[in-house]
Amino acid sequence: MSLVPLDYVDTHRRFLQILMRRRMILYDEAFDVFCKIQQSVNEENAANSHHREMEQAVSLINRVIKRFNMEIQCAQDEITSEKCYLFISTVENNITGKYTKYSAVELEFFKKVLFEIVSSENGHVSSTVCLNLNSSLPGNMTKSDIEALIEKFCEDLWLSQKNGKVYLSLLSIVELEPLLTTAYEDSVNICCLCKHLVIQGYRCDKCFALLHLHCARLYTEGANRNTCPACSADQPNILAAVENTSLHTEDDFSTPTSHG
Amino acid sequence: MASKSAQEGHLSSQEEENLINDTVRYILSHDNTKYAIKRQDIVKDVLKTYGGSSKYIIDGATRVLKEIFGMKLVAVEQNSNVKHYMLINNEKFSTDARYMKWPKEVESQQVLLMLTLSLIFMKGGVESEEDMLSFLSNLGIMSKNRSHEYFGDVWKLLTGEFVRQMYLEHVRIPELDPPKFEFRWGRRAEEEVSRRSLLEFVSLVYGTDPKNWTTQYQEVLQTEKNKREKEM
Ligand SMILES: [Zn+2]
Ligand SMILES: [Zn+2]
Repeated sequence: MSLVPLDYVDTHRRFLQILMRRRMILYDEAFDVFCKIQQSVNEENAANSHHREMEQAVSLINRVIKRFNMEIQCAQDEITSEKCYLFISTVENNITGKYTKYSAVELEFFKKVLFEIVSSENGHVSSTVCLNLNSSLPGNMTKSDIEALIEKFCEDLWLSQKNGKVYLSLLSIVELEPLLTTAYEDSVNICCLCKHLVIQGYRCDKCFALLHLHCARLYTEGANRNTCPACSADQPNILAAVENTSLHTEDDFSTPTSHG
Repeated sequence: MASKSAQEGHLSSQEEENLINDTVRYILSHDNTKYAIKRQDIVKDVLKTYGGSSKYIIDGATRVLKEIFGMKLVAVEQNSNVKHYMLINNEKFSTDARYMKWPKEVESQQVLLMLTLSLIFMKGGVESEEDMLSFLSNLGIMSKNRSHEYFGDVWKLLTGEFVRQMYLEHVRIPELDPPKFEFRWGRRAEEEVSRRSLLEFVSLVYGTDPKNWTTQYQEVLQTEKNKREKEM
């Protein structure tokens, strides 16, 4: 018996390998790669591929890799609104899961950073605060050990840092959503528009609901309104706040793998 | 009970599939190091009491890796007791490597590795330590006791990391006193690296036609023929 459907071919295997190794890739770059693969498979008939073909390939791959609890998800960056493909583990996350490559102390540090970010006002934590976490960790970790560790987590795409601040990567937010929403139930924010975890976004000054910028933009701009979707209070600043996020067409969100 | 169910044929098909899936995840989670995986570690970390079915499960995982992921799991027998497995990238997909975006460190290692493999190939499959050293020094990649700012500690990579990843073999030449060592292609290089593209690369550097390197060109044809036959 075959393990894959008949229309699962080398294009899918190659695309899967690339997504699996990159783990986080901009949608546009993924499309570029997909087209190059298509062209090399089909040299004489190198017609331009369509986004829809890639999305169909992704959903076929997802059907095939479901048995490993792996999935390619499409999500938008909270700050830039850029669409990305993420290769994630749906049951046990890859960082704290069974086959993790990190030591117990490294994971403990990571969890402390998670907590700091989730319980913060603005969804990030200063590098200084992170460096000072060394005193609360077992073993004798110095500040420069911690610095190296943060860099390692950034290299592995779990964290990112910019201007002295440490953020959760989009990959972390999506893959760790089940863990964060159970472990920090009282501190996490759920976007009332898409019902997914949100770490950074637009905060209503009346009810303090936190919304994804891209979700808020769809809500406000589509109906030309400037109210909070959670409490209906007037939010005169909401349009300006979401103005710079890119708006995607509805077509982009019709795939079953969409998220966020 | 454990020992009974561990016998082949006592696993339900669901249990069997779960074990295969876990084994695949385990093997993929080690992919970033490129080190060989010990059969004993798969048993210890994944199969546990089902160790008795390991051959069967690993065969299943091999099939999954090939059909779903397009990768090849190869058994490497180091001696009769220790069995290792190596996850190999399909040579057909080698052009995809450019989309992988490795960290700088890995990228420079790839360049060094290709240079080393080219040299060994052009020299007929084996290169002494001295000649390797002078080749790398002439290129300015290696200077005594100093780490290169782009390539890092070259000698340590050549005799450590690359050997562990099975790209290179670094072996003692028999019956020589004082002992001397030489380099050969390792098992992973044989599987993953195309002699044809190395020869094309070398020819490009020298501005010649690959066919002018008669011996090497014959070897390219011969290995390609062998691989085709093995695949059939
Ligand atoms: Zn949302
Ligand atoms: Zn509100």
